Amino acid sequence: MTGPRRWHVRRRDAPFLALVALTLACIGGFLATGSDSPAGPGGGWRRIDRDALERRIEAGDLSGREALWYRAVEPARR
Amino acid sequence: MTDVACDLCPHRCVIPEGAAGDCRVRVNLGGRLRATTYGRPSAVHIDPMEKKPLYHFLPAASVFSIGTAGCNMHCRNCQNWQLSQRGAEEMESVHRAMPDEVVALARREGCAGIAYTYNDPVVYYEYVEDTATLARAAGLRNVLVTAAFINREPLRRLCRVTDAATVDVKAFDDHFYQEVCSTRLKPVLEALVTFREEKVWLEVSNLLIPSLNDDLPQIRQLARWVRDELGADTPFHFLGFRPMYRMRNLPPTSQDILERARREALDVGLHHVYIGNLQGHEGESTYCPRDGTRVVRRVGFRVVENLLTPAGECPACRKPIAGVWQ
Repeated sequence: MTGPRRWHVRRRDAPFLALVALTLACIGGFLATGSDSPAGPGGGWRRIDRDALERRIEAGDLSGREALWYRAVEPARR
Repeated sequence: MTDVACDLCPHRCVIPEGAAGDCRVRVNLGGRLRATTYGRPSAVHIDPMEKKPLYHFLPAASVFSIGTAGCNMHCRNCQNWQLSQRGAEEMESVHRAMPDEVVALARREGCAGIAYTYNDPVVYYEYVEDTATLARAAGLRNVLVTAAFINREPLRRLCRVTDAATVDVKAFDDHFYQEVCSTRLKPVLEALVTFREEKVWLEVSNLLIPSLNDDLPQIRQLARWVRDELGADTPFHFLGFRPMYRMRNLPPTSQDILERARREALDVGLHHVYIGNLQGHEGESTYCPRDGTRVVRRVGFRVVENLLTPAGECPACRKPIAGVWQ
């Protein structure tokens, strides 16, 4: 018969556990601050390759036509 | 530096200088919002009207179909993701086709109208409106193929030049909208009612994805909502899912589920319920809701028999069948 298996944290495991904790903290931080595409009402936007866009607008490949249905607002604090 | 707030769709993005809205194609350059895909479609085809799907609107007509980059939906099962989930500057292939050129091409090709489709036309609103205005003046009809995630005022204005819309209701479940499409259900339902109020010919489709939105109680709820808010004559299309894009882990929709969904919607009282993506199935054809006569027989996107009278009536009992038939 064998008894219930017990888990012991040994000193040599500490660096590994610290690494796991650090990774989890990084993931949590990333999720908390959001990626480069904040979603949700009133805040969604995406970073784009602005240089590429402006080059293609200048070349006539894309349009610089002004859109409808927008208004200027005070810059949000980011 | 000026931010801009886009009021076109319910995302209501607040966009900093040099960035795009959630749709990727409406960009703030120098404090002005730019419609970067205006006159720059990335997809141009001639399709049968039935492919949209529109079964009660100019049957068997050809429709000149255009789409651009970008979308304000981000469906994990999107079949046009190469277009819809990219910004304009990421597209290798962009055509130059200003509104007057699109109208001229559509007329030259003998099309009955122009469909704004492939990605959601909401994100190229200005291009749609200008093209549709010219098209209507030239005697062409305008068709929106959309998920209808748009604010009420812009939609009302667009309805003035829209003849028909086919709206893909993703599910009758807000959680599904949030998880699978990154949007919400309520604005879509409001937009459907707006289409109806503005007297745009309207058809509704619903893609059934196994285990996500194919349970019969939810289907029944959706069918009841359509019956009560849009009318029992609103054509309703159940479409079969095929694994693609970011949803390759689920199987295709079975014929059994599509047939059960159709039966459920008919039992609820909808008059015209169709099954798509099942070539040769009886659910592709139109039947008179009074006496059951098959009035339009379809195989795939092809109309093989149209028995409607010139006035759009059942040839047997003379009941008018709802639709825009010519």
